[in-house]
Amino acid sequence: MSYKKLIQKNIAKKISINLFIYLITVSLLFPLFWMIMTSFKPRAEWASLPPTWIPNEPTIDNYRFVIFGKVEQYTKTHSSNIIPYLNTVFVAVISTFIAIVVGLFGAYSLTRFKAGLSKLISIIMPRMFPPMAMIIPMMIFFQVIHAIDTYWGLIIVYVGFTLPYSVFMLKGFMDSVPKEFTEAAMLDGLSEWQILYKVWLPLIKNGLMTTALFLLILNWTEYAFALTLSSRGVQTVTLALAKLFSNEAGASYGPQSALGILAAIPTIIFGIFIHKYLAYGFTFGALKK
Amino acid sequence: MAKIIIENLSKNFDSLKCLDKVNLEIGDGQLAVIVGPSGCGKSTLLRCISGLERFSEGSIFIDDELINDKEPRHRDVAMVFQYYALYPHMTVFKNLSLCLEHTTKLTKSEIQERVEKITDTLKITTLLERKPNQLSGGECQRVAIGRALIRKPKIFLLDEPLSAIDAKLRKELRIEVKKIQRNFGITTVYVTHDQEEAMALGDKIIVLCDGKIHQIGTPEEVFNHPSDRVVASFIGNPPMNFFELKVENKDDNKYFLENEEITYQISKKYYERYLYKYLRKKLVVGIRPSSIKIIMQNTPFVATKTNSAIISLIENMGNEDFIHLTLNSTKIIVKIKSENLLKIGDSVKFLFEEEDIHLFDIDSEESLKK
Repeated sequence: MSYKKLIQKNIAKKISINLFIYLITVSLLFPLFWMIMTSFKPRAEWASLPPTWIPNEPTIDNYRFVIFGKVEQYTKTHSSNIIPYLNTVFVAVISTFIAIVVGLFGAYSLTRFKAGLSKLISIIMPRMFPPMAMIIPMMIFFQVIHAIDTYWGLIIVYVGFTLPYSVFMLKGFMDSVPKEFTEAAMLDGLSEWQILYKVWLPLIKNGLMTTALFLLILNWTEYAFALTLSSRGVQTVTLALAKLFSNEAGASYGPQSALGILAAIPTIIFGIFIHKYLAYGFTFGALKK
Repeated sequence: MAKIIIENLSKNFDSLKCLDKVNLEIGDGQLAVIVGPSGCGKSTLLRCISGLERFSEGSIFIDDELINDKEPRHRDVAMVFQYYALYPHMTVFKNLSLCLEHTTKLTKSEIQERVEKITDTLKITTLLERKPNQLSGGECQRVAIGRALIRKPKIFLLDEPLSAIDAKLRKELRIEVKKIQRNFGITTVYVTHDQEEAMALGDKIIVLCDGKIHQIGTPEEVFNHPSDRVVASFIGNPPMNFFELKVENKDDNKYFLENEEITYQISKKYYERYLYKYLRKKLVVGIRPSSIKIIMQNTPFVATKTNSAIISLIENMGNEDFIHLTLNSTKIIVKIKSENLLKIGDSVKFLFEEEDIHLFDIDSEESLKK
């Protein structure tokens, strides 16, 4: 094959690969695009045929409606979504933080002191069956301990159900810390706590961030437990969204999209914030192997 | 400053015996080198001393204190690893000062002073603000040595510290390691698989093979008086030549070591001293490549001590040559000063003196000249 042909072939290959990538990206981003556009559309355009791609008369009424609950143009009033929003932020952030801290210690001891398979299995156990199967016993149990409709009740559940992920993911990252670093630290006279804090933590920083994002998304989007265990006391964004869908006034695509966008923004921001950690690549500097 | 005493130390990995009843004493301020082929348990022995590895039986004493159950961080030992193991997220300064910050009550300025002192000694003052991935292998290992020595440990352990460094630098660093060890006067245990490094460094050489100590001695003792065949074959480059020969008595007072290919006459005195028990029995004869002389075929010489062979290969090492001789199935390496007189395919005679012969029992492989 001539050189020219080879180049042509390479170019063709590149184009087809890129085309494929763009196709996937577009198909993944299209719903998001549609949601953003709908959230700025006035009521008449929500479901108009033919659809309007870009809103003809952009408006922020939908946002005002979902945030403050009342807009002059809409006959129907709706409760404000500020409280559910803050509830979600509070519960998700606190649960993620606790799950990460506890998971860190759990993963450290499992890695460092070589726990057997049975211990690992008992930790992953809560994730081995659908959470739905746990909901009824949990409801009864929560009633007994008066945890229904409380923040701490919801936080306990969230921590409990994300902890296995936390431990397992962190353990995976910790396993890749070469044992020489630990041994050097042991001989340097560092205590276990110092080894974790001074040596391991900086090394698995990327993994820690990745795990935190993953847990945050899980907690942020959780619906079933919030519905059954705290729907009256602690409304979360997911519940508020569901409420909009069951609005008796019929389809209210605009406010739904607006709230959906608002609900997605924090995780997207956090994702952007830690994206450099997500491009996961350990650089074990001095350790050439 | 400390001495180490190891008594009956054994370590088993499941059914595999990794260390087998090791007894060892390393004196105050000594530099002991543990040398042996890969997988002989030398690193394990070092890790047992450091406390990173538990052992099955036996005891280790540092300064007459039993330390079997002491945590590594309470043993006051420092270790340098083969792949440096510098903390990659910390600068050189931080790497050096970390243990001082956490194990001593020194003030910041005192720590600074200690760091400056050690970096002066190791010539790494300019590297303090760099991270380990900005350092070369040699620099990394200097920092690692500094990190180990900065808190003045009782015992300094080095686990093949130079094997990941290129050859030229390795020789430079090994001289420095020895100098530093002398300066600090710290009892040091150095593990290497490189016998040349061991010979160059050690006050005391410990030859370990298959988890057993084969010989403990000065470099001179280990080289000139190997206690068994394993030591003899491991120490020295190129390795010692071995032949299985039979002790024969021909006529009355003539004694020979011989097989189908080699015949070597020994004196009666020599026979009576070492070999009288082995008459008409086989034994292993070892001869160092440097103890063999090559003479040209046509040189008139006493026939009884020479054998003929053909040169099959010449390795030119600069100022010396390794000559590979072939004698039917026997292969012999000879180390001589370089002269361009010999060619591959030449038929030559080789000769050695009877004092240079090492004798080993064929079964126990122990030296007969102990």
